[in-house]
Amino acid sequence: MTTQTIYTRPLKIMILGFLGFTLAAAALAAAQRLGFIEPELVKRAMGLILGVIIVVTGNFLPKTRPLNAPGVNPPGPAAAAERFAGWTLVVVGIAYVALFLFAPLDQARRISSVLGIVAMIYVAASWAWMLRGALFGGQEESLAERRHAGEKRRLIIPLLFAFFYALATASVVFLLHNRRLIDEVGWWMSLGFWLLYAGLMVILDPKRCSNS
Amino acid sequence: MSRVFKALSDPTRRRILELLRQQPMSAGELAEHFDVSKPAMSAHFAVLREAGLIDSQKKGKSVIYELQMSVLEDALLQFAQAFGWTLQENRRSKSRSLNREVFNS
Repeated sequence: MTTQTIYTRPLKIMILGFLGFTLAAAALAAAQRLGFIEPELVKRAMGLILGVIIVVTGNFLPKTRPLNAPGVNPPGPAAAAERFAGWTLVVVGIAYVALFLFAPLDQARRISSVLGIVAMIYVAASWAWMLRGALFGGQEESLAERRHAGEKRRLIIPLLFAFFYALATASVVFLLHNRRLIDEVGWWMSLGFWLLYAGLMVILDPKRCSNS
Repeated sequence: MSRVFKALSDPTRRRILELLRQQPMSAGELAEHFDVSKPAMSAHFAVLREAGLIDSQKKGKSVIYELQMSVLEDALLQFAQAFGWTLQENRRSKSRSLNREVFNS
């Protein structure tokens, strides 16, 4: 019983944070169109919100145990990789917040995007050989455990995917200065998101998970 | 959060967390590292589990404990370890959790 409530709380915070980020981004964009706030302030605010989201996600990442797949992923290294990713993201997130608060905007955008990309490559490299277990699940002993793990996976993996995709998109957009290029890249990125998301949903399909 | 602080305030419980950082372990394997009675040991496990710092899974006859800590809680643990942090523990709450654990098992 306790395990259930404990693992859903961090997840809820992560989901709410992500929704909050999307809503705040939309609100800021609308406010900018209507001329309420200056574009520079909007960019700073976006960077700050992104930084906070990175900290929150990084903080709860080891607690949600995305790489936990008994029998497939070795438990010690899996937990270590989760902890590594969590700490990396928290540090990067704090750096984002500091940069967008204090550094000149141009530099904040350039440095933060490079930091974001490097952090993602680092995390991806340490997770690469354990992603199979994260996506397809482990060999849980009982049916109840397998179902529980499957449900958890279907919540956590899309959430993490959405987070890393948003971070990648933001990094690319921050790096680009050409306005026309941003629109085009933005369009392709959002199309790619839904394509990959659909693919992920097929992989995480409950029927397939319970059969395997 | 107060549960987390309470859980981290005890050196034995911090040592348990340090051991679990290396790999998940069963209750018996963990108990081997300590000179503490079995009921007292399970009381420690109960406090850690209630704080959400560890997760337990039944595997056959034994219970496997594994770490389930956020980065913040991890940082607090390191901090507590570094400064040898101990809080005055409420004796009543300690005996209560002990009783509950004995009652449950």
